Amino acid sequence: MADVSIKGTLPRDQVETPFARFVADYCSSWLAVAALVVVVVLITLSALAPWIAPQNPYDLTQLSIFDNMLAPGERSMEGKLYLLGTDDQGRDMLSAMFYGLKLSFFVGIVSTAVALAIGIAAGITAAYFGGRIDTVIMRFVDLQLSFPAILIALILLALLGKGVDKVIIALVAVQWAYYARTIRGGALVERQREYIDAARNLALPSHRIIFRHLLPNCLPPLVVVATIQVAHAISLEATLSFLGVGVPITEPSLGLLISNGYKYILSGKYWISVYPGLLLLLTILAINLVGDRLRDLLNPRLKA
Amino acid sequence: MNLIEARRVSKRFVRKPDLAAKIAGMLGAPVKQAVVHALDHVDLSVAPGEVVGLVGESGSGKSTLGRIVAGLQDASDGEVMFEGKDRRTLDADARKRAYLAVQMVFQDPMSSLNPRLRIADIIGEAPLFHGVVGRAEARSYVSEMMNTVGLNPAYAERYPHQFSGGQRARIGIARALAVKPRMIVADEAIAALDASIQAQVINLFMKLRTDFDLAYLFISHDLGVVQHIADRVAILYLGRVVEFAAAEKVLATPNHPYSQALLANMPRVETGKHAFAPLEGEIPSPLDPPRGCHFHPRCPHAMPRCSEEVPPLKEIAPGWMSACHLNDRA
Amino acid sequence: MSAVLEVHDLKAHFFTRRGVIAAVDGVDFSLERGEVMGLVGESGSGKTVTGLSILGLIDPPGRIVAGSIRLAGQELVGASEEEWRMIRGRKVAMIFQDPMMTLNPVLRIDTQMMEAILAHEAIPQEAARQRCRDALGRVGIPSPNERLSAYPHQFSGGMRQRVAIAIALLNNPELIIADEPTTALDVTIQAQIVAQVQKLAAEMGTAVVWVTHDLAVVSGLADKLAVMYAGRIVEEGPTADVLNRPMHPYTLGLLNSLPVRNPRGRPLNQIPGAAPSLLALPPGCPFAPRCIRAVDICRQVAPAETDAGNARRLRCYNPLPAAEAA
Repeated sequence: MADVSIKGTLPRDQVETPFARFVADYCSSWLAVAALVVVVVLITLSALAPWIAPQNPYDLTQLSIFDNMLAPGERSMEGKLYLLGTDDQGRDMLSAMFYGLKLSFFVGIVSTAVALAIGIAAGITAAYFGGRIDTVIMRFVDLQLSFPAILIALILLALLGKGVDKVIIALVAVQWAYYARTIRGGALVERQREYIDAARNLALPSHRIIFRHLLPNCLPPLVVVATIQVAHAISLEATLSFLGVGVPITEPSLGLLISNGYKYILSGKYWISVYPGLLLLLTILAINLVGDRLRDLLNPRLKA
Repeated sequence: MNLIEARRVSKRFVRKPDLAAKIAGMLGAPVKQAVVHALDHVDLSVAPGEVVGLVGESGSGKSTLGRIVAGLQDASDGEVMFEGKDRRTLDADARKRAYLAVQMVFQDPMSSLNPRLRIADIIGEAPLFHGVVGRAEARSYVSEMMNTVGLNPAYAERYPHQFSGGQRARIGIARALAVKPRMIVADEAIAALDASIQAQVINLFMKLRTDFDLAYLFISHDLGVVQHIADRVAILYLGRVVEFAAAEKVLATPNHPYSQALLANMPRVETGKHAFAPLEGEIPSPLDPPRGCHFHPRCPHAMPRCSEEVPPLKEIAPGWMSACHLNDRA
Repeated sequence: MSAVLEVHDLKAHFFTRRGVIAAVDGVDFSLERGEVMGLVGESGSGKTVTGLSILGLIDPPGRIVAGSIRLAGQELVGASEEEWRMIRGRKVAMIFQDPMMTLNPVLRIDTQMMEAILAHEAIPQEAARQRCRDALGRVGIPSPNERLSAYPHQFSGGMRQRVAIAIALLNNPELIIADEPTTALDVTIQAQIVAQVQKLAAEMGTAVVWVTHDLAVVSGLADKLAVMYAGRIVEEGPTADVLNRPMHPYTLGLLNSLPVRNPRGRPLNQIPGAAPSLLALPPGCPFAPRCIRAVDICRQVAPAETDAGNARRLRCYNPLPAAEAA
């Protein structure tokens, strides 16, 4: 409280964009910076997978069934080193994990982006026009959110069948409602602000007010939700693949790798499940830490 | 001809019963629609170049009246005439010009500025959009506006959070001024500013009035400020104008008992330490205002008639309107 | 007479990423029993931080870096959280601008008030309840018995502030810090609250520090005034003296900028410029860049506090002569 009145009187001498200020605030937590570095490294590694992975795990000609179930650090008959061992097909685990991570990120980011677009359109329409439109959209959102995400995804995939595109469709279907609800909440608050009145007073047309004034100010809470939802989408995809309804066996994601090793875990061949599991854990943890930091910075209520 | 004239303007806010209340109603429970009479048949006029002060406490409807005059809300009843014509009957182009001619300056210098726009865009967006200036001259027009309100044009690329409260208030004024209005509705425009900054902004308002021949509807709870800059003053209580006359009359020898009480309760530096004799009682809820004269439960002169009959706003001297039954005696 | 509150060379600084903000930078004052002091300043002057310091409510990144606060002889700077629990609410209480800072919206008024009493004293329930009822009656709440069992949202803004005052007075504290308690209220309600506080301070002998930005509100209430600017008290003295014969150019500037002190319709006598950033204070007197009476030394060394006679103290090299009445 005392702090606020002091901040208000600080003039600054250089042009400081809101983004620059935000970056500076973000960097004041070393844990958040570390998490962001991890996320960036993981995304880079997964994007570069075809070039840096020792092996292409999709290319059956590169696999040798004689190399199956090698322990981490063992060499194949030809002398190739398998740092993290191989699975039951003789696939190099390290390569499989790079490719799996790539698929996980691809599914998580694409589904979040599509869901975000649908959610923003639905939410801002509901908030700006209100009344009956608002009621119809938001009741549909409520209906959707009242079922567990995993259940809806399972039903959709049972109907659609396996495939990366099908998984993305299922994830979009379970995610858009969160965004719609979040942005509607934000827009209802922002709509009450005086700068929206000022824009209306200046006789600017509705679409200009929505896109130039209302929408940019509603995005911060959405950034938080979207970040955490990417992690959620990745873990949901892993779950679906683990259950065998997600991606096809020819394109192993992290979830499918864990599932593959699951049956060997009690026979001491822990590495097939454990390493992909640790990578999944690290990915989700890092994304969530980034999301938490964003929430701390963007939530006005948590600001001192 | 008056620049703006509000005729018998009323504004009601109705809260419709929600689903639970409707069900309760079906089961036989008494369901009442909550109606707030924010404004109750208000007449008000502002001549070109004139400053009208609007004074009242919370629930008086002064902000609602300001928003209706500025075109941000529609009246439930009555009409607002711009240069003698009802704005709603004008064709699209003339209507837009009529609304642009009345601009608002808001109370909160922070929330009234879009935090994601640079000052150049905040001031320049509307004039550019409406063709007040061309794209080529937009830059210099913004600089000119910033100079006019006492801001350094070198700061045009900055964002609102980089300014002090007083500077933000100036940005808000420049934004309103940029569409060349005839009148400005200032809703508690200086209330949130520091004491030493208030005087600067009041001075700016007075300078702009002479430079641009602006009319103001100056809404404030601060009688001292209103007394200083207004030509005429309207005093509102619970949605009704109780007194409307030249500032030097209302604030020197107020006629209505509420105006008298307001003036007596105004804190003044001059008085020094003294015992207070405050007006008793609370401001009634506008949801359920008292019958008759809204002020009668707190009025030291209340008569039986006051709780029965609404006193009409009557001329008690040339150009001096008051709504009190006491004026009928004598 | 011994002072209830003695604040000596108080410094409260905030250690932010952008640098150290000296929100309160060397504040001295004292208060006697039943005395009301108006602590006047603009935003960023340090008036609120001074009030919070006396209640031990400065949170990181801020802390008290120097000075002493003695309340009825007890040193408060450096008191443990355990000691603070015995001090807050019993010896010193606070009234905020927003009464909901003290009131819990989901608890009934009687629950909250009884809790405040029973936290400090072991007395029978019925006696505590009686005291709550009296407290509500004393602050002018009609039918206190019924109102006791109401929730905060059932009161109007003015009534809520009265309840907050009643709670503050429950344990007969030596001192009340009131931080802009009437700023959010309407003129007629503000007058009621001011009158109530004035009466109670006199009756109960409670000392009051009334923190405000509004000279007019405290002018009719306070025994003495302290005007703050950029973390320091620049002028202090008996209310009437300070208002009638201000000696610091800042005080004079504030008074002269009031509309009532200017001919109607003429430009007001404004203080030029804006308050300095507390992160980049100019050398010398922080008011010097805005001051019409500044001389060379003002821009080099900050003025120390000097005694100006008649219980008045001042931080200025070139004060107005006391005779030059405004």
